[in-house]
Amino acid sequence: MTASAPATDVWADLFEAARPRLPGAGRVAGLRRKALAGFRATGFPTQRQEEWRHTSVAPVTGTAFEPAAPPSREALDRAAALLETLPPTGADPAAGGSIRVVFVNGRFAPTLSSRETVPDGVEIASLDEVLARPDEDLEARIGSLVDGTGHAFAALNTALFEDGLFLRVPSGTRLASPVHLVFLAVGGAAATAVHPRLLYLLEDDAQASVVESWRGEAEAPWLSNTVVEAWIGRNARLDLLEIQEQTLEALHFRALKVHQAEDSRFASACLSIGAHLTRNDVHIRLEGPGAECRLDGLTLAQGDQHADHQTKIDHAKPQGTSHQLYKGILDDRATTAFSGRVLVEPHAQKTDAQQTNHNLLLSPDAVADSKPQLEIFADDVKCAHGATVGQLDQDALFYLRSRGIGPRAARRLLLRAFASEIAERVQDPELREIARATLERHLPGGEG
Amino acid sequence: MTSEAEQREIQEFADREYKYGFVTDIDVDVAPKGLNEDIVRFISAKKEEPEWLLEWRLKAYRQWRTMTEPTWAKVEYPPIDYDDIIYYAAPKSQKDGPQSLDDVDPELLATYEKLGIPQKEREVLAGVAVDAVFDSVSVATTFKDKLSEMGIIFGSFSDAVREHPDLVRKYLGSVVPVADNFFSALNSAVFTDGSFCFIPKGVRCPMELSTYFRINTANTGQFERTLIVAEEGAHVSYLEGCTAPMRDENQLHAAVVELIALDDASIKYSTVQNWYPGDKEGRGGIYNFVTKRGACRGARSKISWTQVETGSAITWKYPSCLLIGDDSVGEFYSVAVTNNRQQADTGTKMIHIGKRTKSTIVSKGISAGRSQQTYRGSVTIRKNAEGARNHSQCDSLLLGDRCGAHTVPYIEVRNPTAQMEHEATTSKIGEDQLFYCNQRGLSTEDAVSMIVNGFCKQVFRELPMEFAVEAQKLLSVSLEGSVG
Repeated sequence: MTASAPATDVWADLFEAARPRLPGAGRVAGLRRKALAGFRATGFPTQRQEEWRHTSVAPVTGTAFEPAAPPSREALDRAAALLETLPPTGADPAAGGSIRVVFVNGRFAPTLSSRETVPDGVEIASLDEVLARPDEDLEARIGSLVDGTGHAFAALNTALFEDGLFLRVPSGTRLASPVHLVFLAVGGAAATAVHPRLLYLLEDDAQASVVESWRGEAEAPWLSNTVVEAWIGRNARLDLLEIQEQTLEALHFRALKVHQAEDSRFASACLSIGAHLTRNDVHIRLEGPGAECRLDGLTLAQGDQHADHQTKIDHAKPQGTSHQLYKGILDDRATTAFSGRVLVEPHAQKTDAQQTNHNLLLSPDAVADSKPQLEIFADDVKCAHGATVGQLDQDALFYLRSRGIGPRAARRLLLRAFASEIAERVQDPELREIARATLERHLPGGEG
Repeated sequence: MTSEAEQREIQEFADREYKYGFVTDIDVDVAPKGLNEDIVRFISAKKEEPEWLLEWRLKAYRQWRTMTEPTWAKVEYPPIDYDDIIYYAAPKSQKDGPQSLDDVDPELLATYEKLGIPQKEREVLAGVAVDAVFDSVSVATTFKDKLSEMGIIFGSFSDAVREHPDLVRKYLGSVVPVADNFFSALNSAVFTDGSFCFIPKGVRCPMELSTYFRINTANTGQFERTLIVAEEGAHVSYLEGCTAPMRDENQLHAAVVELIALDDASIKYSTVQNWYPGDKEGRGGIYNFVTKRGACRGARSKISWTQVETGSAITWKYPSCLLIGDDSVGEFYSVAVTNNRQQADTGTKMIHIGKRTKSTIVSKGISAGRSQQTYRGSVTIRKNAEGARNHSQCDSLLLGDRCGAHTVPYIEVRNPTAQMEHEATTSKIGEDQLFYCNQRGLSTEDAVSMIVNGFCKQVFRELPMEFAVEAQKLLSVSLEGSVG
């Protein structure tokens, strides 16, 4: 803890410098101060802390980050060019009907975004925009799920966020097509930190699907430290697809907290492909009876990449369902950790919780750690977890080869089969197509 | 089954009192309360130990002073005052040393009678040599001659220190180092007695070796030390079982068990633990903080832990295997039953170091009343453990809606050729299962008993015959009156 003390001071100085320009007054300003004080008190986590056993934050503490400046005209032009050259995420404005919100270096870029087709009553706005005008509902919500307590990175985000997204889908409204969020890193030479904050508010019976796409061309260390807070109302439904394809300079931290009301449904698929270091914290609370959530994740890691997924599902009310499937394919010296915690509170009867983690190790130096946990305080429940770690099934490889398929092709085929399960589980058809296309770009071809 | 009937059944289950509670009054030779270097020296002097062992104890004691009690387990208990514990108590009659069962204090024998383990009968019927530990000092060791003909050493730890100091010195603390953890360090400093077993090269021990631990004398912490060494190609099956007298004050038990298996050797270690779990409000009861670890040092060696845990207020126990030799095998089979306010945090550690090492974990937990039970296990596959294989299965059964069942497995894999699988389920006895049995004319009680026995079968199958019978009896006793 003492070792990281100077690092906490650096961030406190950054906060003081940024303070005049940080959006939000009153309650939000207080929230920021509290978060920073909490962060200064606890500092960055060390690997002696159970939740950080497998992830060293040294790349963060050992680097002097500068806050991202508002994107210049050049940066915006560069971003526009990137949007053209990077493989499409499925958000093609020319296709019509689609909603695209682009953030360049953490800031909303209105010229690159298209919000024409947003239905009446639905609010899709940058946080900077909405915090500029009084909105009591928003001010009360922001930080009500994640205020940074007990999590250094969420605390830093709470103190330092400058922009982000506010999505509000009013009661009974269904968005016909997905909302595409594109977060572009257009780097300079300096190590840069961005702290996007995303709020998804789905009122009763509302429905929306969202694609978060993280990409860019950062060539210097790039800290992307995101917090997502989501409220899903009664019988509402949110489908989320996160595609993380940052450059290998990126350090990707994302903390997601979701509160689900009665009979609501939340499905999230996370494709974790880029970044030198990825850390995802997911906390779902099933607050109403009959709520259902599904978390899927795929990690493709090679080189010295490290990905750490921590999930916590809190079954607070009866008849909840949670299904988790996390998979990893690890090559070279890549490492991954999965720690999933399912908590079934007393009286959360008829809970159905499943938790699965499968890892494939392709190289002798790859590492997979797994810690699926069940904590159960109710008796009439169906809870199970499973974990496997291994290499490609030799019998399956032999079978394919005996059918005349070459060893490399057989291997590719099996890898594709292993990975594509995550894409196939996506229920929203448009999101599923995007997930398939993404995997297509990153998995070796089936032929040859 | 209506929920009212369920409630009643839970109530009856929860109201069940401990069935083996009684105190035997014997004059004891007692050390003053508290722990300091003088107490360590006192114990060592009482046991007439050589200098090196005293030094070893003192080293452990000094290390222990610098350590803090672990808090990561999911158990809650009031802080233990280590200066309010008596660290040594010996029955007086020990001085003369009983030569045969006839010399044994009749009151001790009566205690065994009450436990339902008449030794003579056991000797004759089962052919089991019993090294009975009655409050820290060995009372009788039988079949010693028969075993010694084969070169097997089986007796109390104190005897081993006197008669085979070189062997003890060579292996003591080699699996569980002095400062391994808080409780093992405490044990190393103040252990009073225990069992020592040595099976020489190529010998297959002809009978199940068994030790009955019996805690007596109010307020005495029990610190047992067990060391089992199986040389190349040796085989041994060892049984440990316990019941305890009923009393109000908590008792601390911090045992250390070390197993060493050399090339081609195999050790099977079975435990039935039925110490006093406290009354239904959780008062009293044994604190069981045990360190058990086996080292498969040799190639193709095997260590198998089987445990049936029904007693103790708090159980903190992780029998582990260090799979060092190539092709060595580690096994852990466990049934844990918690009731009332019992808390159990138990599991295993399998550390794969050698090539093609294999481990199997089967853990069955049954929680009832307001008890909390945690399976906490770790499977580590080290870098050089080429072709290592693990399969873990942890199932929990919940009886009642005020208890908890938790599963915390740690899986760490550093070698891609390893195959690692972990499965866990948590459920209660299905109403459809009960209905099916009822429909076939089985009473609900029989049905529950049958289902629970079936649930545990995979583990009971691993127990030696004598223990399997006892374990099933214990389980059905636990279930008695649990069904309306």
